[in-house]
Amino acid sequence: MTSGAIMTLFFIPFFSSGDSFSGLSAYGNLFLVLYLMVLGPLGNALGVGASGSPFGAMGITRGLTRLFAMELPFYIAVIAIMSLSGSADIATIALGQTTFNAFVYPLLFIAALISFIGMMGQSPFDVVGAPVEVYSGPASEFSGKFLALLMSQSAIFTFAKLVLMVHLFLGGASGFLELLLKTFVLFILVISFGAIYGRFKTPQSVDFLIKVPTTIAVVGLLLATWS
Amino acid sequence: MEHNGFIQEQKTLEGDLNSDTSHKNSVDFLMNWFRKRSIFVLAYGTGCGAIEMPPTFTSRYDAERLGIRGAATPRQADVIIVSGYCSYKTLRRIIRTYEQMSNPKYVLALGSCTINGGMYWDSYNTIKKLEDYMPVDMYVNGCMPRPESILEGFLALQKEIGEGKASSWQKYEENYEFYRKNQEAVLGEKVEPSYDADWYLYDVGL
Repeated sequence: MTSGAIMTLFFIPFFSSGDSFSGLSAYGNLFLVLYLMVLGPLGNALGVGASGSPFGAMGITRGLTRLFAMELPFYIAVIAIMSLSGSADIATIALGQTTFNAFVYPLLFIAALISFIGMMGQSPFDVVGAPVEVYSGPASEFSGKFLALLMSQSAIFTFAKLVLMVHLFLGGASGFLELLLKTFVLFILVISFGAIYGRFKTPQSVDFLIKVPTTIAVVGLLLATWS
Repeated sequence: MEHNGFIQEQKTLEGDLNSDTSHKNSVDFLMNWFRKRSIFVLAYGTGCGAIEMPPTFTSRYDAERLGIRGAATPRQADVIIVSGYCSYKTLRRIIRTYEQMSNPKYVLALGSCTINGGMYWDSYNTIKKLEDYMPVDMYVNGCMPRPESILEGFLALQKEIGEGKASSWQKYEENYEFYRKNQEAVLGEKVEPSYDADWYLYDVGL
């Protein structure tokens, strides 16, 4: 699962221009990244399934259930951005924005942001590791180096997802300072949402994600293709 | 402690934490440094002292600035806090939880009750000396200790971990017969609590 997170990070360029810190992004595109992003939760599920802890199994079942609903609006928004920019290359999408995609296609951005909050494990979609409810969910039976792996995986994955969002919607970054600033703004935005809202139940979060952000994403897609 | 603001307070607290030189080699030093700087505390309250733990871990006293944070399950935790008197019923759970934690594990005992029974000295269903039943790394006395004292207890524990002196889990393994004998003396032959599906109906234990 950690390899899934590191692989995802490999294929996402840090900066929209120049060769430095671009990793293997020349050999992969957005399709590959979207595919690799599922590897983390799946590897997680395999690892936790082996532990036999009821709270772990509960957490991972919740996570995979939520994943179905979370991917729908996110994929609609991302694929819309991809087809509107005419490229599946992440750096090209980032460079092609004269005004940020977040302002040109606000509905697509909102839809992607709502499922992004879920991907970051923030309230109201924090059903996976729900504190008190299922203790720490998938991580409940992990200790020592395995817990360290699990925690670093989520930290690496968080950064990879933030950089991806910055590239797709906020015009990418040309240097470390700009990257830090944009990811920080996005991060604080997501954390603030998490601090405000309480927790949905699993069926509630699935219902919400399938109804509200998916509708927003479809409307955003129609509006964008109309004009 | 002088009132020179937050940075001064942090300096005073951490004053002699980085001064230990008793490590054997650099690998030991590094391991102990990592251990003392990331202490995961089991979220488990036993007795009245548990009420002092929320302020210790939240924004007012903010234990996380010293690398001390909560953990949800015994598997993730390094430290268990026995925060006050232990009735026999609680002691079963404490022992069970302690044995589920992975090594290295440390025990922090709060209040006079864990030292000699405190105000429960004459009670029919509480233990008096925690150290007879499980090893203890650090005592914080008081009835109850304030969050400041708990923080100081943690710092003393961190210092011992940094020097590699805190090794109560080894003591528990080496002297298991002693501890088990004392546990059986108060809890009976079956020390572990019964966890059947309907334990709340048929729990005949204490």
